[in-house]
Amino acid sequence: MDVPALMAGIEAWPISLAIAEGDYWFPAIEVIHVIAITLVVGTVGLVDLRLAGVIRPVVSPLRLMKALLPWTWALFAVAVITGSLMFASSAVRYWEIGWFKAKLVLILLAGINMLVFHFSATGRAVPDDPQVVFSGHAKAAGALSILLWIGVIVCGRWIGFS
Amino acid sequence: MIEWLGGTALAHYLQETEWTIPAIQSVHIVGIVVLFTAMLILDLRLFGIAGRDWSLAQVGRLAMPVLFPVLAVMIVTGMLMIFAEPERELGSPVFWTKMALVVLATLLTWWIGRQLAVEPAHFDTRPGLTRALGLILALCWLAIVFAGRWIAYFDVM
Repeated sequence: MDVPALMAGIEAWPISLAIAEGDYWFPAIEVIHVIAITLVVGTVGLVDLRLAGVIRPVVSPLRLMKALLPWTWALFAVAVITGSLMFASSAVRYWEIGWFKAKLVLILLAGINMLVFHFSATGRAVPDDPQVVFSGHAKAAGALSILLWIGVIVCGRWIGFS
Repeated sequence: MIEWLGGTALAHYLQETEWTIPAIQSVHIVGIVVLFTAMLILDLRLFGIAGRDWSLAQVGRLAMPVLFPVLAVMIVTGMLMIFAEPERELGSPVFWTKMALVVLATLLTWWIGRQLAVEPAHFDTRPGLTRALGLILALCWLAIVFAGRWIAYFDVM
């Protein structure tokens, strides 16, 4: 597959050109992206901190997940859409930035980590017990998730300086 | 003031090293993550949209302790950014709008926390006030993030 040609093609889409050439489109989309990504990381991070044992065990993990994770998914969709629009506006250049690829890899790893947890014994039957304290895989999955998401943010900020 | 800040050794250091500003901004954004999320869960509970398994006072106890420590991190990292580019920040109306909103949002959040601490059921009997506060608070924090990102674009327009 001819990736550079594909990127050049994306960049030539009318929507990409509009974002690249307009004065306000890019910053407006970026603001929405920042708001979405901070809340994605914050909401999933709270669940992660509960799994990792950083938050005092006073909240039922099951209820915490049910209350927060639907918001995480909705905001993640917003972050993906706005991120794709920013990418499209300058696809050739972004594709050459190492931080951009690193960010995608970290998001992928966070997704794999989430799936592995979801299908683990704890993930399939998340306890509804406010006092439960996790150990082993669930604890590690929470800690790994928060680190990966902070990595996503750091890579994202570095893209802007590349 | 702007000239003096720009002439300090710290300003030169921040301008000459490539990694310091993105690193400081990354910490600043992680601060936003914590603060913004605390405000989101408080807000969702104020509106009664989510978290109704817990009382407002319980959600307040989870969200409130975050406010001042994180604000301290935001102020320190924010001041480092001012040192690096004093004109862009202190010379910008967007920056000063952001600061005014930060003061307003902080006072409002602190007041809500105080009311909850003094009288846990304070807001339960005042649904209109509670929703109005939730709306103002949400708009304030959104505008703060908006203004923060807009500082970077203001002078180029």
